Order: sequence, then C-alpha cells, then structure tokens
Amino acid sequence: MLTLNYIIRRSALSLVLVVGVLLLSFVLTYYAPGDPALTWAGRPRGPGALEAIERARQELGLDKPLWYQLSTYIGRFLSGDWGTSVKFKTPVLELVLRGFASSLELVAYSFLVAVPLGYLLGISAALSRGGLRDRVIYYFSAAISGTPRFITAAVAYIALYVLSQALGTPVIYGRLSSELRVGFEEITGVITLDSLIQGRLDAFLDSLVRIIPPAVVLSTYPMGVLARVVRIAVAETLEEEYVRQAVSLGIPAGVVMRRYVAPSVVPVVAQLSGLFFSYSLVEAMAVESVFGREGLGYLLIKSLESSDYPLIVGSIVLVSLVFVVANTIADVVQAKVNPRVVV
Amino acid sequence: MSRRLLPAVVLILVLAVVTGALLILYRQPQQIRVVVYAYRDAITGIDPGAEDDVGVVVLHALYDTLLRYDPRTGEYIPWLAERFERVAEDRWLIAIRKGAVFHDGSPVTAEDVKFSIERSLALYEEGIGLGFVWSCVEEVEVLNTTHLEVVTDGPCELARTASAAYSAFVYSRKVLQLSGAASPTDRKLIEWFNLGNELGSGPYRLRSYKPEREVVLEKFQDWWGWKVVNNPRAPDVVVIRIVEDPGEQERGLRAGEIHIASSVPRAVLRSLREGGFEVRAADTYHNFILMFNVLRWPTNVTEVRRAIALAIPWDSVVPTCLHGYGRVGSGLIPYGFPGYDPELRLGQDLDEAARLLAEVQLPSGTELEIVITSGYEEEECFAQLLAHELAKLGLRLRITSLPWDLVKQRGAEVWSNPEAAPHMMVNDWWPTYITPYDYLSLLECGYITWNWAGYCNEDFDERLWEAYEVDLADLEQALPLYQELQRYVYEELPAINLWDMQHIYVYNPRRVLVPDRALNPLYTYVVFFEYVEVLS
Repeated sequence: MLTLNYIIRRSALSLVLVVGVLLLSFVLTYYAPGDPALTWAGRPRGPGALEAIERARQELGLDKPLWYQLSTYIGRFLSGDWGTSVKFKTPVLELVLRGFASSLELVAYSFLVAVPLGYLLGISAALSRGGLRDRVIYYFSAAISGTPRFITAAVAYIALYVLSQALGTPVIYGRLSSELRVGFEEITGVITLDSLIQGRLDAFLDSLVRIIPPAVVLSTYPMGVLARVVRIAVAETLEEEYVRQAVSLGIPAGVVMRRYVAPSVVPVVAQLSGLFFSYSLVEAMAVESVFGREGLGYLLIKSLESSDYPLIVGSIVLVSLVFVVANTIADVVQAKVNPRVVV
Repeated sequence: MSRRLLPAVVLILVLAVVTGALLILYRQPQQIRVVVYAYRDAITGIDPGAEDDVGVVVLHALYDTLLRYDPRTGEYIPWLAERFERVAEDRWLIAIRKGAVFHDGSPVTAEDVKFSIERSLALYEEGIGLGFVWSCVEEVEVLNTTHLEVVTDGPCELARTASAAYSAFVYSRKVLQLSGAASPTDRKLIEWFNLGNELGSGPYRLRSYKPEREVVLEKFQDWWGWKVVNNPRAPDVVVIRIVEDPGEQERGLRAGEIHIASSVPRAVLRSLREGGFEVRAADTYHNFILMFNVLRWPTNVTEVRRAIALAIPWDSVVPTCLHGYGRVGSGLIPYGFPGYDPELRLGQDLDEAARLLAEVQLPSGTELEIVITSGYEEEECFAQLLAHELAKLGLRLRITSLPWDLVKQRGAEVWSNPEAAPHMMVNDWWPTYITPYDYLSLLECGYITWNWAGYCNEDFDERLWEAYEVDLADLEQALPLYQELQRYVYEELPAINLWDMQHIYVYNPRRVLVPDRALNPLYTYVVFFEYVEVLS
C-alpha cells in the first residue's frame, strides 16, 4: 500500500544515498593519482610558471585539508553549484546535463522497444509452454541478452552500413544530420523532443531514423531478460488456483489473461524496468560510441583521464540520482498495482 | 476505439514514419554550405590570450593575427595588418586594414591591438599562455585609430611574433566590459571566453561552444578578407566535431557525416582512397620526442641513453609505425623548420649499444619503463619495436600507455619524485612560432611542465637564452648557436626526436576541396576554413 509515510521515508533514504555516493566519489578521487591543478593551469611556462600552478591549486581549493574541501563542495553541490570542469573549463552541471540528455533519449527509446516486446514475448512463450514457440523465444531471448552490447552494436552497425551501401542511402551515424543542425537549437538536449518543440518535422524524422538502430541494440538485454522473467511469472500464475477456476468457469482466455494473469506480472516488469534503466544508461556508453552519438559515458571517461574531480563526482552523482529515481518510481508503481506489496 | 481499428491505426502510423524517414534519407541537400571537421582532442579553451593548447583549432577561425607566415615561401603575409614595417632598429609601424570590423560590427582599432598584445604579455607574467612571443616588446604606442608603433627593447624580428600560432590574436578591448572583469588578467575574463564568448574579427564567429562535443562556427559576412581569399564556395557553417577514436572518424567519414577527418587509422588509408576519398598528407612541424629521465638510474647514465638510442630500429619506425607518412628525426628540430640539421640522425647499431651497456656494467634483465599516450597508434607501435630490440640487449621494457592528461602529469613528476617518474616518455611537440628556441626550450631547467627529462644544465640554459636573444633580432645569426646546442643535446642525449609527423587529412572530394593554402605546417591541426570549398 502506497502511503505518504513511505514516500517521505523513501525520499530521505534517497537523499542519504546520493550524499553517500557524493562523499565516496569525492574521497576516492581525492586519493586517486593525478594533479588537477596541472590540468587547470594549462601549460604554464616562463617566470610565473610555478606561481601559476600554485594559483591553480588555490583556485581549486586543493591547498585546503580534505574535510574543508569536502564540506565546501557538498554545500555548494546541494545549492546547485556543481563546480567547473577542470578539463573543459565549463560548468559541470551544464556538461553532465548535456551528456545525460543525449544518453537518456537513447535509453528511453530503447525502453519503448524493450518493455512491450519483452512483455509480449514472455506471455507468448508462457502460453505455449514446452512448445516450439516457447523454445524459439527461449533461445532468442537468451541469445540477445547474453551477447555483449558492444558486439551487438558493431554487428548491427556493419549490417546497416552494408545495407545502406547497397541501397545507396546514407549510413546511420550521429544524432542529427549536419545539414539539419544548422539553425537547430538544443533546448532540452533530447533532439526528437526539441525538433517537435521547434516544429522541425525534418529534424524529428531524421533523428528518429538515427536513434532506432542503437535503441534496438540497447533494448536487447532488457527485452531478453524481461521475456524470460515474464514467461516464468505468467506460467506460475496460470497454475494458480484462481486462474484455473476462472478457466474452468468458461471465462474467455483473453479475459482471463487481461483480468487475472497480467496484473500479477506488472509489478515484476515495473521492478525490473527500474533496475534495467540505470543499467542501460551504463551500457549506452558502448552503443553510443559505435553509432557516433554523444553521451554521458564519454564525459565520464574524459573526466577520469584528466583528474577532473568536479566532473567525475558530478557524473557519478547524476547516474546515482537516476538510479535512485528510477528505482523509486519502480517501487511506487509496484506498490500501486499490487496492494499485497507492503511499503 | 474498436479493436479492429487499432491495427489499422498502428499500420498508418508506421507507414507515416517510414515514408517520412525515406523522404529524409533521399532529401535534397540544403543551400547552406556546411563542413564538418573531425578533430581528435577536446577543446581546452578559447581565450585568445591564454590558450596554449588545442584551442587554436578554433581560435584561428574566430580571430585574425596581424600577419600570417607562409613556410613554403618564407614570407609574412599581411593579414589584419595592412602594413607591418620596421621604421627603426627598435621600432615597428603597424597599420590596420581598412574596413576590418569585429563580430559586433565595431571597427578594429589600434587600441584593440595594443590591448591584445599587452594582455598576452601580462598573462605570461602570471605563467598563463604563451605571451613570451611578445617578450621583446617594450611599449606599444597608439598613433591614431588605425596606426600604432611597437617599440622593442632592441632589434627584434617582430613579424615572426605577429604571425605566431599562439597568443598573437587581436580582439576587442570591449571584452573587459562584457565580462565584467576588473583587469585584463582577471580570471573572470578567462572564464568569460571559456564559457563560449568571443569578440574577434576573423572569418567565422562562434555560434555554439561545447568543448567536449562540438564547436559550431558561422560565416562572418563582414570579414574584410573575403575579397582577398576570393572563395565564393567557402562554408557558411563549420562544425568542429570532437571525435577522439580514429575508427569513429573513419565511420563518420564513410557515413558522410564528417567531411574532413584529421585522424583516421593509417591502416585504412588505402581502403579509403580506393573508396574515392582524398588522402592528403601534409608536412608539419609536429614531431615526437623521446625524453630520458636523467635523474633516475640507469637513464641518468649517458652511455645507457646512447645505447637505447642505438637500439632503436630507425629505418623501420617510419615505414612500420607511420605507414610511411613521416620522416626519421634528426636533432630536436623537425625537417623544414629553421635550424634543422640533417647530420644529427642516428642509426641502429646493436653491437655498439651492447658495448656501451657492458662498459657501464648494466645488469642483464634490468627493467625500464616507457610511458606513451594511449590511442596514439604510432607511439604504441614504436614502443613495441623498441621493446623487441632492447630484449636483444637483455633489457626489459615495460610499456605504460596512459591518456594524454596523465602522461603530462607523469612527465612533470620527474621534478618532484624522479625515482617514480618513468625512464622514458614520448612527447609530441609543435611550435608556438618560428624559432628553434621552441624545441630546445623543452630542456630548459625551469620548464617543469614540459621538461620531462628533468634535465637541468646551467650552461645549456645560458647558451639557449643567448641564442634566443640573438634570434629575436636575427634568426640567421642565431642558427649557428642553435646548431651548437643541438649537437650538445646530441652528445648528451637527454632527448631525441624520433620522427617528424605528416598529418593525414581525409575528405570526400565530391563534397569538399581542401586546397594547399588551407593547411599550414606552422599552425598545427588548424584548417583555414575560409579557403575550403564546399562543392555539393
């Protein structure tokens, strides 16, 4: 049962979790090798070179003790100032939101594919338990969820490339065609949405065509796992007494499925979707790279390479925030649709 | 909705999307001329006075320098300065080109030039930027709105400075007011630039700045130079896209989403050429220097350094690791650059190397560490070749591949903790302006961020400064001094140039044309887009 008390408790726990991640990531980057002051100072030379590095250290507050740096950082962070990237010399919040919007768009589209298809495949397999369809779906879901995403992405990219060469059509690459980028404003950073806001149907269709292949690739893992989990859940539900009775009373199969079987599966799907969402955000990094798309992964790698601690912490905290929010939503949905779940 | 209607609605929607997609895929290109240039490193900043790294790739499109240098002819081309004349031994007269305006429409004045020069110098005093190029300037006197005189502290070849790749850009002094900075060196002003602001007079202006992803530039119609370059097919929009992975650059190129690629894998060049792409090898002053840690055993022993240098398979490096696109190094200064000395080339001699190692009684099985930059295929290949050859001498080579920022940090470690710093590092270098000092300064004692050898030799430093002082007045006179220094380095071997790099630009000739004048070895990785022609 969903209660206000639960929502408050859950929010407080989420906040503690995020602050914990923030603390941990800051402390770990503090002790990691590398000197951010050198990156911040650029290539100092001449009479003031040493002073320039020292000044960089002061500007970044690296000359202060850890507790002071940490408390100052957390204070600023919670007030919305995520600092400035040492590498890009640009506000961290701006960078991570830009990267996140791009990755989020891909993950969202992959879910539009994964959830309904995984659900339908699972139900379909459960309804023909032991039959040919069940076996085909079983092997198919095992194959798509078991193959690493970067391999799936590479194979899909090559296949599309060969196909486009044969058909004489452009190759799927990037988020939006270079020509269409002219005059296109990124408002939210989600291009399919921004194009609709600006009434740019050409940009919308172009970005849609470009996002479908990577989204399908990214959807393979959640789709495969969902199909198998749903199959088991549905198969178990079909064996339940109340379902058997409903069938014996002559209630049409479609109604039995809709009224008695499907609701018992929704909490499982909701719970898994929450987990998959965060996981897909991480997996998106590989897929984005193959299809020439920008995203949060690239930022995280660059920040690690250059000891860019504000960007490292910012990226990690953002991912953990997404994790927390996605799982909270999943729990709430689960509680809402299944009164037996105690929260 | 009726259940029978639902599939029909879904079918119509799917058909609509597919039709739209096909229309998009087969659409006619728009009239706007767009060029996408893929560059391999994230932009490190766009402050024209402070930037000392890859930001120049953008800056040369946004800002003008007073002159440009043409290494092919050795001439200085009047650029923003219509006249640039020495009027006395220590005095230069500069006349700004008539009609030159900044991107806000205001005219470029002598006061702006003075502001730009003085800010570069002031930043350099604080250790920021490469304003040392103006170090012989004593005073800048504004004569009127378009004329100024630069007084130097002695005879000084100021034309070289005015055409430098870094810190020689002219920008409006209004930037102070726009940024709210209190002084030209105020951090606020640097931040203002790095947030994606500019006020230059170059052929392109900044439309959007995402240093981690892409920089979009749009044609500045009022640029004075359009009449000079006379290129009606110049791009209206330039997208400088950051694509670090060479394989991704290749994919983008083949997909038609990248029009000029600067770093595709060398192994695929033939395939690209066969696919109709133009592969242009451009000579550069970009070289790769092996630096020995002279503060750590055993590379602190000259004989050991020489033995390692003699173990390098010099004749195989360029064909194997650079696929022929380069030249074996000789001395520290690259081919074609003033001061280049062809006599300082080393060859492989494993017998002599073994003799030297025996002389210093270096135990067999000694392990050495070399740090290279990850993703640089030529460095990785070189390290493998070297490891193979050193193994023949009984030495083990541990190869550590790190991202560029960490390479820099490990290099600087030689000054704080030489025992933890690697024995060898590969440093790639390109010039700030036309002076051999630029390459030799890598071994200056105080240059802690780049002297990864930890080499500190007072005599060398004094002689280098002496050469530089002479050079400021007359490069030709300074060349023998630089030559002596190079020979000194050749004997001591704290560092050695492995190869001079050729940059490979690949583009689709049906889409763009990159003429010779769009590339200039002094301005490394810069494409002068005003000369690029968009064909379709």
